[in-house]
Amino acid sequence: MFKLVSEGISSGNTSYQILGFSKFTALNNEIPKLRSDLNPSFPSPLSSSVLKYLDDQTVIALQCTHQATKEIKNLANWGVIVSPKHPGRKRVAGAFEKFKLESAWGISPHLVPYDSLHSPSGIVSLAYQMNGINLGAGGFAGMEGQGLLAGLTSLENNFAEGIILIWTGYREEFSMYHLECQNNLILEGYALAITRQKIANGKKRTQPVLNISWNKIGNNRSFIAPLSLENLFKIPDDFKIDWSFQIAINVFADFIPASI
Amino acid sequence: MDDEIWITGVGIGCPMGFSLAEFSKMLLEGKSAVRKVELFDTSNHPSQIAAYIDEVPPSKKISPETFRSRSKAEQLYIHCLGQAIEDADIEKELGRKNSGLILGTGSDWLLSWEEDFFLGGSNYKLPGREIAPYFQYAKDLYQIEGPVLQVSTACASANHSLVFGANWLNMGIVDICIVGACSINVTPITLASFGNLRALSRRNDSPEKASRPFDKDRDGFVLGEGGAIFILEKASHAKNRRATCHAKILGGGFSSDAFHPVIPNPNTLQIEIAIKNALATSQTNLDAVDYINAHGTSTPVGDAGEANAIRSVFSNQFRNIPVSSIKSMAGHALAASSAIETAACLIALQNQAIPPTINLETIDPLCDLNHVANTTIEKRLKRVLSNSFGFGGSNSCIVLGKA
Repeated sequence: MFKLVSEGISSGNTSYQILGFSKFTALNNEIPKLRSDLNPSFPSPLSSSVLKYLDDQTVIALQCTHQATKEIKNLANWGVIVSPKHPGRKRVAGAFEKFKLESAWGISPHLVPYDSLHSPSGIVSLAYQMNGINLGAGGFAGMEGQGLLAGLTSLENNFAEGIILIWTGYREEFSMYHLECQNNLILEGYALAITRQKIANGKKRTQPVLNISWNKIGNNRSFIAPLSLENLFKIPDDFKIDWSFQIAINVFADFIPASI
Repeated sequence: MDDEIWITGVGIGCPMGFSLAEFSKMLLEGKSAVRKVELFDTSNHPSQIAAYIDEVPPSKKISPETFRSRSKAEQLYIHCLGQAIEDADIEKELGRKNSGLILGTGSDWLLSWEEDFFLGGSNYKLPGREIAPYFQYAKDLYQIEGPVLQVSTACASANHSLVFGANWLNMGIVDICIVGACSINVTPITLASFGNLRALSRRNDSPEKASRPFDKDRDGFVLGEGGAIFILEKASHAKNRRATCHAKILGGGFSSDAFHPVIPNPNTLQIEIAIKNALATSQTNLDAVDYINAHGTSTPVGDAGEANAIRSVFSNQFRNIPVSSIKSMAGHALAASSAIETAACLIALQNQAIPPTINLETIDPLCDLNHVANTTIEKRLKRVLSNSFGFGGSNSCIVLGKA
């Protein structure tokens, strides 16, 4: 069971059902193969002209979505929110080098569409044919909690039937110097497929459930760490019905997981 | 929405003005802010024109030296946020944790690396030299301590921030929500990237005529920049402190095309769904819409698609609803465009006047609508609708009401 405890929110209780979950890691040099291997699995395979321009973090987001949505039959009314960390860094670095040599002629037209904060969610919505809201949230290291906040706001206001929440990033930021020698860079992704559901107290649950308890300030202080990609990876792999931990939200600081 | 959401403060900074009064004057006079780019060498750029900001006016909040030490994007946030807070007279309330901040963005880090690169730096190459979002300095300056959310749906980003802000107020997360977006876009890399995408107008010899939404001879959008920030409160909260209402946010709707990262879907069903959702959440009947502020970028495919969606949603009533695109004057400010367009709607509601689409000389038959062409018209306005769509297939629509 997930339990989300929100500090400072005062509007009652809402439960969120988790229909799927995934976490994924890949080495930098495994991304090209992932691009081609993943494509046949999409409900709407991406054209090669789209596939080849995807940022590494978008590829990870697609992989996470693939795993987290296996049990969901129809994603048409779902939305997707991705919190990447500085996507597009490699291509932008290349663009600057090309600008030095070729000025405007050398700049790729694909920078903005594929390397911006909106890009990963837009591509996931396309590959999985999701017509609900799609947006990027946060974008900087330390802003991962904003994805969850955006997701819950979207569900509360019926912007989608369900939301795929995805966090992506390199485990450690990397130097662009001698990048060709750095094949051991680790990319990580974590995804939750959640829907909004009212569940009466005491009712037996058949799926893991994310509970949001909306409490006044000061009701819960048992926070242990900020919500981050690193901390999400501490969540146990045996994601079962009887498995329990708690994520607490402090909307006034950031999201903070507790009791993992 | 549960309660009326009021806009009680506005701050604006764009090539059409650095106050609501300046912006309003240019908007209603139908004057273009598009000109040849002289910020950097554009000789190799396919598009050499834009609507851009030369200099952001200094802030009373900090010394001129400190202000000048910040990047143009940070200066713009300081200006817009400060003006909105002053307009709403709400600064003394911001030190508490009841004030949230939801801002639309593109990708701050890309612009930051670009700025650094052109100053001879190499931040983009090295870890540990990461930068803060551009809003951070202004947020700290005004001691906004509540929850923060930065959202991106490309060119629809600010519409999402506005509706999310209204939702946060209704959900009880905050009592005051600061929303909008600021975006500095006229840079060498961004101009080159959009230019090479063939998305920009190449009417380099007649800049003020280049942005011509819905016109038969349109050839792409004109890059713009700027921003607008809004203070949102529930009506009850605003009344308690005797705040003035500029306009009301009545509702909003979103959808995704799931069609292509760049190209709008020629089947406009998802745009129609976003508009219908906005009408539903705002409890607005089709015949109650008094004006549509179009996304209207001046691209051949995008304008025709939007026109088709409007005709489809409003059916035979579409001829009764005036439509215009202020991008004909302000250019396309990308992530901030819908913030600036919300300010334009607010001006329309306050003045009971609809700003025109300028350069609309020959209406494209594919864009058949009730256009407000070239000259402002006076009209009784109670409810207006504003569309914004973005790369990644994001569609958004908001409904604003007269105060």
